Amino acid sequence: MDTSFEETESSSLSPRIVLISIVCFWAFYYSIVTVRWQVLGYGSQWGVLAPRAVVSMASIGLTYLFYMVLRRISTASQLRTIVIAFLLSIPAAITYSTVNWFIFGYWPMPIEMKKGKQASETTSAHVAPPAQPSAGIAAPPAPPAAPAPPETVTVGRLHHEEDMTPFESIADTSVNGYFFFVAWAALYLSLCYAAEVAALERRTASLRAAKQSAELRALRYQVNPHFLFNTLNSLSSLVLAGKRDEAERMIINLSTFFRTSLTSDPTDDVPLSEEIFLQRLYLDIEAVRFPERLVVDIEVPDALRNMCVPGLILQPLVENAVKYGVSRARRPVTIRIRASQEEDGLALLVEDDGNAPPAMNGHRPGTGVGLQNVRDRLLARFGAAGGCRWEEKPEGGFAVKLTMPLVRNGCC
Amino acid sequence: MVAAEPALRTLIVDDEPLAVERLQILCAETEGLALVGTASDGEAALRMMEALSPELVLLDISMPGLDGLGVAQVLEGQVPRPAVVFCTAFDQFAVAAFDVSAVDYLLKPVAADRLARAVARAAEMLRAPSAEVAPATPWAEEFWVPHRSEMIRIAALAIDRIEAERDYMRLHIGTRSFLLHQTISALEKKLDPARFIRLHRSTIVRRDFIAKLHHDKLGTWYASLLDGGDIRIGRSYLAGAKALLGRC
Repeated sequence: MDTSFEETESSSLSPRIVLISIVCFWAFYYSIVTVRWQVLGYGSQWGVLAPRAVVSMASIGLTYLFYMVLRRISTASQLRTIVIAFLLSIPAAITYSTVNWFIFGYWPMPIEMKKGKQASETTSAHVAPPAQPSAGIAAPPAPPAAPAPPETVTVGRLHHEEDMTPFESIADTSVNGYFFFVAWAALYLSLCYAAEVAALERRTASLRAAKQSAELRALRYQVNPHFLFNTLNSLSSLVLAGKRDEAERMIINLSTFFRTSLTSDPTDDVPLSEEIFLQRLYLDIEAVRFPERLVVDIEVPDALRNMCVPGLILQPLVENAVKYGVSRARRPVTIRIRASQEEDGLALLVEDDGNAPPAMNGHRPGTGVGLQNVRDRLLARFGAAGGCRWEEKPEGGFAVKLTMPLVRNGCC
Repeated sequence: MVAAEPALRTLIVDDEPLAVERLQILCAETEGLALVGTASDGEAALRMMEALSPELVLLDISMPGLDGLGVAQVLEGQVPRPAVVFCTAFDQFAVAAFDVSAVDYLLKPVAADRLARAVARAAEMLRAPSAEVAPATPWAEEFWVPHRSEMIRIAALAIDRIEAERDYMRLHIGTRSFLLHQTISALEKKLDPARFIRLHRSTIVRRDFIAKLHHDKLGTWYASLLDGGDIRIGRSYLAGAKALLGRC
């Protein structure tokens, strides 16, 4: 878990995205008003394009300010944040309306136009239905004080507006502006929420991955010190007895085995043939310790040799078979490894015909943890499709069967 | 001097042929012992001991059937009893081994000089049998502890204090310390209560290593140790600790 990850998680929505949303919002407003003006034929609008742009720019700044305040006081409780946004929209709307009034009031333009345009801007621009202030397209046209005003609901208002005091006019525009800010706040909050959900999803996914890799790492094969020291003892014996070639072969086997098991990534899969090769190597080393007691019998169909299996997945099973099957018996014990294809996947069997353990029912002492680890690894890797079952054989010995899906690619 | 001593009649017990062979070679090169036989499991070892009555047994622990510890336990009651030197590949049996009085504890592969030391120790013990053969107390007098790459023996009375560290006990002796895989209660049972006292859930101290007892304003009692350390005394052990005061 690194800190940079934590940071991206906490600052859910970047100011850049907020700014883009604000600019788009007002650009949309600007174009919708301009288009409407054109479509409804209110006449030349050259004179109002500039003040309209100025109002829009000012609104962008105002909305950004609104966002800064909103961000600062937004709380963990969603409902409270929404209420705060609704309340904050009131001063924002009044400010907007005031700015609007002043700009259109004092913009230098022909008086004739000014009268009509101002009315048009102040009213029609924000006359969209309260529920969806940004969806100006659906808004009923708000005619200017044009020579032939269309018969709409706003006509009365427009005429009425001409008689308004500045205060009344500002208050009137504020109501429309209010819905505009509430709409943007709703957009902002939903963006925040989406960002939060995305961050949460990212975090969950990353946690899951970290957990799985930690699990796999914890379950990785660890060199058994007993095996290591016994092997070194055998090796030393070969050296003392002057059995040069045998000693050399054992050193090579041992280094190959340790190099493979120590450097392998526990999350990697290997071809079955490689896994079998390593187990054969291990058993060759153990055969030097138990020359008269260890018999190895491995059979893997050619068709299955390239199937992918988790690396060293057989190691604990083979190690147990030596430790509990071979080393505890006074007679030859056969360790049998079989691979087969079953209807729903690959089955690997490791069994021995050692002695039944004294007074243990169905469980060799000390095998529980190792086998549980193998089972956990298969579960972590394959989910429910992976399995590990074991049994004490009635005639003596122990058998473990691993099942996993057939994976053909992904290991080399 | 050494050459004048009769060589110790020695039996090797190990289930791995190469391990036996290695010890045979080592024994041939070590002075003071004469190899009388080898056995590959516990039962065979006992039979051979009966027939050959060796004075020294080099005993592997992990074997099929009766293992090395089992063999040593059978020998425990016998008089005369051969000196037992355990040879094992890994120290996981160290704790069990101090229940049977082994003369030495060797880790495989056994170095030649280490074997020579074990043989000398066995010869010494056999010459002065009274101390070892009939232990005077039921309390453990020594412990085998892993130290660097070998097992060393420490006298119980040399331990100043014992601290629990998760699954292990740390035995402090002067400035050195050793880890023993053991629970504190099991260890407490092995220690002579006249010599050691438990002061806390995780602390045992040798009685004469305590300089004084004192308490703070809140009524918590502490034992000041000779090395200057303070040990907080657990509430349930306070009565026992105060009895210590009465004795002084």
